[in-house]
Amino acid sequence: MTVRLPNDAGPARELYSPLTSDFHFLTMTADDIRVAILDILHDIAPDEDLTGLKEDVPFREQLELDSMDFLDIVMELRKRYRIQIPEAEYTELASMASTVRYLEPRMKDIVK
Amino acid sequence: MAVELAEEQRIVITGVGLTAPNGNSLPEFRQALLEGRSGVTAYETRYFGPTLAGVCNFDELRYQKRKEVRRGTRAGSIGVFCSHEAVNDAGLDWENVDRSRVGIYVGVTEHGNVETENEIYLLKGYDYDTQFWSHHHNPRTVANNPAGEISLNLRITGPHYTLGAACAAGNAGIIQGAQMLRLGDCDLALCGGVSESIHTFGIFASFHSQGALAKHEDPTKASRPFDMDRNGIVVAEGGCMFVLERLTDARRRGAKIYGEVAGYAMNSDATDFVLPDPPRQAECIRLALRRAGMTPDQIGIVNTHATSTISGDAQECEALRHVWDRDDHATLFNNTKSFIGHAMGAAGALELAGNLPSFQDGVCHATINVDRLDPQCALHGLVTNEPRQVHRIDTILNNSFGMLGINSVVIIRRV
Repeated sequence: MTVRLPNDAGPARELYSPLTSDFHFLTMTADDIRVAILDILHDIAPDEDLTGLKEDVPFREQLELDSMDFLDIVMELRKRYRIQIPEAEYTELASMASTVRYLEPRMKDIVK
Repeated sequence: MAVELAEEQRIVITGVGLTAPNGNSLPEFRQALLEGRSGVTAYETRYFGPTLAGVCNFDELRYQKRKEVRRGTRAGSIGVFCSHEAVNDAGLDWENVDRSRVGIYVGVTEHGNVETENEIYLLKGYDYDTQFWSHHHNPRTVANNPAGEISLNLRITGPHYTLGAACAAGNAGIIQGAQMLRLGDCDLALCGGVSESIHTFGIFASFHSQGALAKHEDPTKASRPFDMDRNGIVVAEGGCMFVLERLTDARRRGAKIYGEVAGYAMNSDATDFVLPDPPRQAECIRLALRRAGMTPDQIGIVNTHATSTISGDAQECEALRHVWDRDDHATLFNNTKSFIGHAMGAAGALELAGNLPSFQDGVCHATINVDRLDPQCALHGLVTNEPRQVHRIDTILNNSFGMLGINSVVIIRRV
């Protein structure tokens, strides 16, 4: 059984495949969003060591990220979670803390 | 071009970097050519399914970060690898080279097909909603991409661009490099050609539809120019970049010199989209010879373009017979595609590189897989199946021809 994201028009994402008849819809917490962002960063900056990433320090001061990389973050959020981020709000993605803070209300209904 | 050039107008090859389906350096490649080792293998590509190809296995991460590989193209990675290898081979003190005086000239048969196909394939998963189309598409598909990736990676700030010249592109890159050095546009030219074509299903499907894609139960036997049983092209990836510089500069720094660009020519058939025109090919060869101040019998080795198609091979032989019109010459003829398939934009550069060691070892590598020589292709001096040791090779003439009737010839002589 596959649970699809709300309004998912794209390919099925197997977010939760219950092994038993008991399953619950779990929605994304701040920690889940943090893991999701780390997963995206791992893909778009594969040479970087993300283990010591500081929450409140801008990504750009800790990682070799340029504007195309930030567009990658935006695109991956769109592809993976159908989150649309207006261009004027890209600056909210400056650090892990600001990204999680910005995304939390927008991802709270997403089933993980 | 004057035959007797001023010293500063004489252009020499001082570095070679390459990746071929049967070798990732000139010594490896040369050894495979002398041992008769093919690089053609079974291969499967999206939509088209099982086929054959020449596949390279160079280490992309030797000179690129993972992120560069992810962001860029296969053609870019091939170009970066070959360029670094060429610079290293040339013995340049790279840190102290004025990189604003380095030009990058990369021949490509096509560029952008691979990246566009990939993006459309991914977009299909999103119901063709273009908001999921990557912002990387444009920088990956601009025609200068492979040269631009070399510029970025090696921090070269001189001119960079590609030359779209179908399968004549490898030679076109070399010619452009030599011309820009002569014009004083740069002091070092990184030039040659690259091919990522095995990563686009379209090239296989198109050759198949044209009846020009090779089939054989043994992949290593599939590319067989001049053989009666040849049935088409084996598509290959690969790349070869040369360091070219003025003879005066090379001598000043005591560089190893592979050979001198003695002559070159490019012309057009102006007759057909795909079919070659032997009289124009012959004209191109004669023009290169005239510019080099040479007669046909002064050429030691002719590396043929022949791609293993039924008509193309025979027509090139007809063109060669126009120029070598007697059978008392000592010129040898060989073919490198019989080992690696057709490396498209890289073909001319790779095939020239594979023959350069002949100046040192006096050996002409063979054309392999000639089990039954087609009488139409029975050139006097054709070296089949086994390499031929001769006393001395002083000149190599390299043919590369392409679709839309583009012809190119480069002549290299021993210095």
